[in-house]
Amino acid sequence: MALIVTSQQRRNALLTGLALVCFMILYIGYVWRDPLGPRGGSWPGIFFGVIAYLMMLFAGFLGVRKKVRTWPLGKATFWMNGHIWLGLLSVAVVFFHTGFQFGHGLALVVMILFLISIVTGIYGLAVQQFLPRTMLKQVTSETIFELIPDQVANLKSEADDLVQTVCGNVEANLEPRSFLEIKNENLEGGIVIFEVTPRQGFPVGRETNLPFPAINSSLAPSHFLIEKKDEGFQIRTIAPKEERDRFPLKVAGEVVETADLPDRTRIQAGDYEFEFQYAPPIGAATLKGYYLEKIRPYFELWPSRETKTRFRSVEDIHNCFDHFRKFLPQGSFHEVCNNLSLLCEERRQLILQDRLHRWMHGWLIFHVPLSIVLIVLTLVHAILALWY
Amino acid sequence: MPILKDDPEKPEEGRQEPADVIVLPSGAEILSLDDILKTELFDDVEEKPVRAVLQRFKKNWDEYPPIWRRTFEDGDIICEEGDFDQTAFFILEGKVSIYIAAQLGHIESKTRKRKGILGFFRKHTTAFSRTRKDDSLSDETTRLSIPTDSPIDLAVDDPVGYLHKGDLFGEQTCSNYLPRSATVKAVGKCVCLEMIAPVLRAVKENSPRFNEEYKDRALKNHLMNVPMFSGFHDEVFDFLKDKIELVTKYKGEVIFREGEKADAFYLIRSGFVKVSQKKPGGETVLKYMGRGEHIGHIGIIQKTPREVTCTALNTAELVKVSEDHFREMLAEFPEVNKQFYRSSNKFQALNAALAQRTQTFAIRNFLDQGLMEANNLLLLDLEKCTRCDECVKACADSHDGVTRLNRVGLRFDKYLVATSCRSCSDPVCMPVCPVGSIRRRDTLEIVIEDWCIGCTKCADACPYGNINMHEMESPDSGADEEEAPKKKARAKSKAITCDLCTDAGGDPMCVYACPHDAAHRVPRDQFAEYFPTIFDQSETSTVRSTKVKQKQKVKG
Repeated sequence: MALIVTSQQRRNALLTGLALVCFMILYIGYVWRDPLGPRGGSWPGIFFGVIAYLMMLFAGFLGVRKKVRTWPLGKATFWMNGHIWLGLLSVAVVFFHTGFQFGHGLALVVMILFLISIVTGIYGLAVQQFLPRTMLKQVTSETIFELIPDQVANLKSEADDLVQTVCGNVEANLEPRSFLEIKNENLEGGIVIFEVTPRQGFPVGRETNLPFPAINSSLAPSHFLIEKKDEGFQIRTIAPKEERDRFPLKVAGEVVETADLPDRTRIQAGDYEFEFQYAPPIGAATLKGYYLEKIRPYFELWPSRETKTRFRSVEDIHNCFDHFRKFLPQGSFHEVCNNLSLLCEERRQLILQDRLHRWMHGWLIFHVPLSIVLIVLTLVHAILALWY
Repeated sequence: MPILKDDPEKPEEGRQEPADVIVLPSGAEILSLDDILKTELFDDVEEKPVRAVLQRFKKNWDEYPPIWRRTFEDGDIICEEGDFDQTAFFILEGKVSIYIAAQLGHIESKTRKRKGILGFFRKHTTAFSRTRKDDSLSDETTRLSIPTDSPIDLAVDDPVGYLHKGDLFGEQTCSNYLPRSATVKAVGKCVCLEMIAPVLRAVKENSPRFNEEYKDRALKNHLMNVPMFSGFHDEVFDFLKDKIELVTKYKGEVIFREGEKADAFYLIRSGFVKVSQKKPGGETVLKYMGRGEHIGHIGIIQKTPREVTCTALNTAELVKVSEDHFREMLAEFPEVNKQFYRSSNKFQALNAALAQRTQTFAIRNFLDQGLMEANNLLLLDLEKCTRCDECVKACADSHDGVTRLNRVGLRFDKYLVATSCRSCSDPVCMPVCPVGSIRRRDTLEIVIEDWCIGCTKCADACPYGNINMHEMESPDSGADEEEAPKKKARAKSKAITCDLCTDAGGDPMCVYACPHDAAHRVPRDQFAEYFPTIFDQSETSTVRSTKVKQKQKVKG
């Protein structure tokens, strides 16, 4: 990634370079003429020290400017440019002041603080140059940093809802319940669809041949539809014509289109008799188990390292879900899987955003307090040095 | 709340749909058709057509009458500002007070008032801040009063007035589905007739007395509010009294077109008028004019054809003064003449400035995001933005602690188009305001005045979600409610939107405070610089070459 270089930055760089050359000439002249060699205590040394301190003060003023945003102190960009370029220039000036020595005692402490401030500053400059672009490219579903927890909570409830459409309440256990039990519950909405299980004559253990595939009102085609009618429920054939012949709905041996359900929970369909039950469809247990164990933890605010590693990249997410899909029946389950993978991708981006954001701003925790201590200690150092 | 049934006039899209059935308010007294026609409302009304209108409701008269009587005791609230009703009232007996109950003022945050050393520092350094004047105190404000949906307007500094026997209020709510503009409270015992739109229209169309009274009152009221007549209200009123004509324009009707001969001057009595101009990029709405404002004087004064097109946005009632009478008036009152001259010169200068701004570009998918509608965009360069939130904090700092900018929104190229007012070409927020508190500055920014009643219509209308409702912290909530009616302040929300910090001068605060050079407020004529990819190169070059040719011509 290239640096973003604007004409203004080019001009600033040029000015800094010029200033550097001037200071260098002064320094060389001073070293040349002074028999004792370069040192902080000489007049030219003090000159360089004062210049360096003024630069530090100027750089530090950015912090003040940020606290009084509405004051007419000039644009924040001006102060930021000064902060960066004078900060960089100050390194040379400080070394001219010390004659490339580290000193001892307080001077050494100040020097170390100064170097740490500069190093953290340069690190910050670098991350703030490059990471915004990484963020722009890789985090397309960026949100405001402070809102990430809310967004994660939203994703979690969305994922729960998705899984619930095919598996029922994610927090409830998966035991099938009989139809008679469920019909007394308050069911919202117009259409309710139940899974049916074969009771008579149906080859046990061949679930896949059930005439009622994974059933859900919105996600899968279904052969029979059970609707809430007045007091009870009604079953209706909704399969396409060719399928209808294969699985006709029969009540007392007669083929019908609709039949009431309240008294009759056993229905003949095709050659078989079924008892209607509200039961999780095939594959529900698998999906729910996997979801609860592997996916849902990812939607926690602080997911475990293991979970994060599972969905490290877009490819990881794809592979994971591709593999998982093989264990699920086609149709609604696959659709849920697709949507879950999208949610996981969004979560992954939020984790990335969180990390990038911390990188971009975390270094300030060191840079700012150290700089403040530096400015204070430098003043103490100057006073003490001049006093004695 | 009474709800309208079977109203022939369909509401505009996006407006509140009237429900199918009337729910009569409690205490409503249903009168027979004959009794109704004996009331004072119908005194001078031609009976036949009105009876015909009322007959249409005969079938369900006992359940769903179109008009009914209500009696209020002293202090009863007749209607409240911001309510979405669909009826008008006629006062049969007694007196009512009309006032704005919402507290005047703009949103301030309490959390901003910090304590401790920092708070002390802030408190004693505010003098240094780039100061923002109050929105409503801008020099450009021409309003001297808050328009209400009644024969009288309220003074901005003391928004309380009284209506008496024979007055009609709530016409706009009834015929244009605007929320109630003010709160009305009974003073002593008061009897009113409450009616739905068809009855109101029938009465107004068939009553010579109403028209006469309107003429008098409407004109007098308007003249009081036109700054150019200041000092001459009564004289001008006497002069114009017999020379005016009342005109009603329905939704979409053009009052006059760009390029036509200027033949009349209009005062807007009610409703909204859209003032637009053809620009190379399409039609640009310069202004929405509402009650109390005037249109059409520039063409007459400058003796030029119309420079703008004026269209009625909803049912608009206008007071028309013909060209000759207008000229006579100007001759009679030289002071007024001078004022009008000044205003028309100002408009022309502004118009020239705007014409320069609105250059044409070839636009492709730019339109998809509605960006071309914008006159001014806040763009955050996401390649430079470190998400430090300085812009949002600065916005909050300069607007009493409440930010008007959200660092979210749609992205275009590498820019985030932040959620902050775009000063749209067609600001749909303006005409929906029932109290006319949304104003467009001469420089096109949108400003929400302090008398906002918090009805949320503008926030709903903004297609980009850039107007936010913010809870107003009422300083005297819980105070004695019985004092003056206007003291009855309720903790209500108010609408806020970006004002581009124009009052503080220079850059908007968000741009000023961005240390990374990432925030830019971009006026329309600079869009091409920021989005070079979407502007068709060949066409921009033709624009350039024609400009060069023009320059050469000038030189030649």
